[in-house]
Amino acid sequence: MEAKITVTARVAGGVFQNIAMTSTRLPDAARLFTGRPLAEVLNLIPAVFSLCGTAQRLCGLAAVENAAGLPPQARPRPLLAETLVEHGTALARDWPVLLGEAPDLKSLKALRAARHAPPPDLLADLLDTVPPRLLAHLDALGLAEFGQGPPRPEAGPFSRHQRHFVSNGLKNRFLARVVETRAAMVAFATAEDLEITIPAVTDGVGTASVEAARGTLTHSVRIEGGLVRDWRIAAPTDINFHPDGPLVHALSGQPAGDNPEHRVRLLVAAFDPCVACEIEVILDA
Amino acid sequence: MCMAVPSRVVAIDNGMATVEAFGATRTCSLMLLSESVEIGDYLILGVGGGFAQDIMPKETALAALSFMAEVLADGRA
Repeated sequence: MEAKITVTARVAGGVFQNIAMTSTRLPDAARLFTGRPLAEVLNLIPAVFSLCGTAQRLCGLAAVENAAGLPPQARPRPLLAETLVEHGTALARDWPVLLGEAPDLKSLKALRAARHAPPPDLLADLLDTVPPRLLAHLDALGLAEFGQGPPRPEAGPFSRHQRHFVSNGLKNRFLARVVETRAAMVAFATAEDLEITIPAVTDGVGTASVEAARGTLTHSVRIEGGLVRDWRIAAPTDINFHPDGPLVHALSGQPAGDNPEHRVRLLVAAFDPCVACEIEVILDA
Repeated sequence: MCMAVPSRVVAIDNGMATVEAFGATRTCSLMLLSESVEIGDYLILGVGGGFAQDIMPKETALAALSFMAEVLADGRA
């Protein structure tokens, strides 16, 4: 049941090629919402997709409002909190591991304890201490422009902030998450909480997207007689880790160096999958 | 989809919990949780499964597990 992505990269002639991507995620699970009352589904969504439960819940609700013919509402505060916690988790848990260090469990615990209002001091500390070392690590390995190539559709912080960057190399991908975290901290400080209510009239066909931590999340719904008739979810990881998606293309043809697994690991972390990612490197003779 | 399976605590020993979901058991650390955990609580594990990152209310967890059982039985989801 535990979802996992596996990236299998072949190295031949010193470059990555024939990248295969497999996933045990269940992207069509939302189809089983069919036939259930709307209220039940709106309660199930954050419970079933709890890793980004706030974004999932708000996106589902926005799709329902769209189906009911209501205008889209801004609900930035809970979404910003979730984004800050997810980006903070990457800084505390994942980025140190890329540097060969232990995860910062103390910061991680503090972040999770205050997940509805992530403490600015904690985030600022993480931003001041972790990214500079990771960026220096990339420079030292000569990997600042690793993965650079023609732009392709993708989801996430780099996609949202790419106007600030001249290249889509590895360093800029990590920098985009830093930029976004700083911007989200400012936005969160002034964002308003809005009450969440299910609209009274809900029948219809609707679709809505929200910017979740890892990228654009889209729900498409059809509701008849208060019952769900169709419900589809497209998540950022579906796009970024697609077998013909941006990560596969960024990796293909890149120099493998003397530690190819670490290079794949860095690129995967830059795209930040929502589930565990296993990496296999096959060295061709 | 990034479903996270609520796992039921069946034993606790020195900050580590043995948890069960769909017949499989595993061990996870409780050190990231601020709240105290008891046997019978439902936990959400973080990516990789080594650490519990949330306690989920029982009613919510049972609803999610019931739905996930249908997804598994359906097979093609």
